[in-house]
Amino acid sequence: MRSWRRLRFLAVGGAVVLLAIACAVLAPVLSPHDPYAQAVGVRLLPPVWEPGGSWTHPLGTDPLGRDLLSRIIYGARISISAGALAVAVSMALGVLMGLLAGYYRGTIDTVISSLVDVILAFPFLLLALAAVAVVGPGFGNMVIVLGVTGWPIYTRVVRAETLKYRERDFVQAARALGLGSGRIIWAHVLPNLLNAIIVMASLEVARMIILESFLSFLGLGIQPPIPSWGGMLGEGRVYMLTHWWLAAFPGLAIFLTTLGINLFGDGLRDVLDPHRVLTTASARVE
Amino acid sequence: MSTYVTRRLGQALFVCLGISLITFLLLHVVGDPVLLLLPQDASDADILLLKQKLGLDRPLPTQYLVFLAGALRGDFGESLFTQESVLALILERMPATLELTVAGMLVGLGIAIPLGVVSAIRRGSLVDRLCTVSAVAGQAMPIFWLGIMLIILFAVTFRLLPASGRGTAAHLVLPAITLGAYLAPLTMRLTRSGMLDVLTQDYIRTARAKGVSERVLLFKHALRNAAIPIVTILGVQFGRLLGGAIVTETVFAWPGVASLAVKAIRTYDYPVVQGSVVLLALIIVLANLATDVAVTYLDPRIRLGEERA
Repeated sequence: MRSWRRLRFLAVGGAVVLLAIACAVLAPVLSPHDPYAQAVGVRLLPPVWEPGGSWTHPLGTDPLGRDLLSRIIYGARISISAGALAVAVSMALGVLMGLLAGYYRGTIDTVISSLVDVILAFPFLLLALAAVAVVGPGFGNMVIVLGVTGWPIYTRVVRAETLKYRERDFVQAARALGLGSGRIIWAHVLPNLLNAIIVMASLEVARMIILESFLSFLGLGIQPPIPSWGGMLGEGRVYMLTHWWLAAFPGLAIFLTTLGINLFGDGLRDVLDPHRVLTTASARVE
Repeated sequence: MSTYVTRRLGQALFVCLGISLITFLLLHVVGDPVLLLLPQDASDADILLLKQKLGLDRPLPTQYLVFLAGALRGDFGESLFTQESVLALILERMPATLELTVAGMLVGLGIAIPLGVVSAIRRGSLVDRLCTVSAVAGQAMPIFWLGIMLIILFAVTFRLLPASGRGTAAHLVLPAITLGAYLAPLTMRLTRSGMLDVLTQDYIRTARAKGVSERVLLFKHALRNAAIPIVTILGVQFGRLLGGAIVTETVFAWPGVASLAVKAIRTYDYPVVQGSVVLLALIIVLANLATDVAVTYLDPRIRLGEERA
């Protein structure tokens, strides 16, 4: 019963994630309109069920007359790719640091662990905001900033696991056979950590999507006219007193996507890494 | 006990030093304040003049030491735009941030701890499942969207509460709910798992076998021991809460330190950014330190284990 419920989480979450990825990949096919096409004559149209709404623009239009549904579908491209790329950067950095700290211990461990302690004590969002302000807005810069500021969480978990595995018999045997440290780490330690890393990364994608959205919401991330959920929410906020849908739908897209990813990540954790009840990913200080 | 506290104090000091160094390097090495402040077509003479005026023509280590010495005296310099003392600006806004943070924490804990406890006691029931689903959904919710939705609902549609600003208790309601909703899901899950751990312990089974009533069992035996993970959660969550305050203050135009920092980041008022980032991080470090010390009082095994190690 319990495992079925978990698998249901995995299935529902996976379906939502697949739907979001399908939207991102098939955006040109799925969108009813060009997301950049402005039409002053139909600006600020309400959704179809509100008085004045039409099926031509099911979720209404923005202040420039652009179709909201099309922009949300295209927005999936930005949010999902930004989240996935930021996770790829932070995971690569964090796993490497964690392996080095856990395997070599000593001075390397002290330096890396101290750096992790310092970065985890930062208000993460403020650090990311300050970094984006310094390097400037834009997709590439934002991915790098989120990736570079998000690595310590992987390091902490990977270091702890590496410390455990480096004392295990099969690693000692590999060492006795004369294998180099690099080969031992790559071929014997890392494969044992993959499940934990995959689970952590899947949950981190959701957090990175929310952070990307907030940076874009503040105008520090993706710049207009590129459709991004956070940017659209930021634009919609200006009109929230009179045109609620402009802020409601992009936010709903963020919520449903991150919910799907979290369900998928939770389900994945129970399948791949059942001993970890709550990953540090969800408990980290932001 | 004093050895443990001294050791944790030393670690906290090291972390504070690291925070000041990373903030300084980020603003002065990754980015060049002068280039960010001047227009793109500024002449070399203009650049040099501004560098001299701001003391940025000196070697970086000297600049850092000057910043650090100033910070230790509480002098974080002046805002580049208003010429006001950075510390005065931050202190002026600190009560607003603390008010919001404490209110958010009270709302969050007020929801999360009772629900976490009930969920654990009635494990597997409909209530437990509802709480778990709400927690998963709550964790996925972007709080800046939740804040906007609350404004649309309660300030625009029903006209019950103000949409932004600070002043009366009514102004605090929506920001506190938003921040509390950010804190509650994870706290609830951690409280639930902490309570479940305690409820499966041998001494609970023994007490139950001796005929101790469920009420006494819960309040006298279980909750007291579940307090340790809950206090730890409080410390960790305080840091998250300050992160959430950055978002909440921005959405509700709440005049706190976080919104000051966000505004300074946008205008590249780097002394204000430096001061607010360092001070907010310092508060998080102190909260973590206080939590660790509180936990050692509640559970002497932690203290003794550390001292033996």
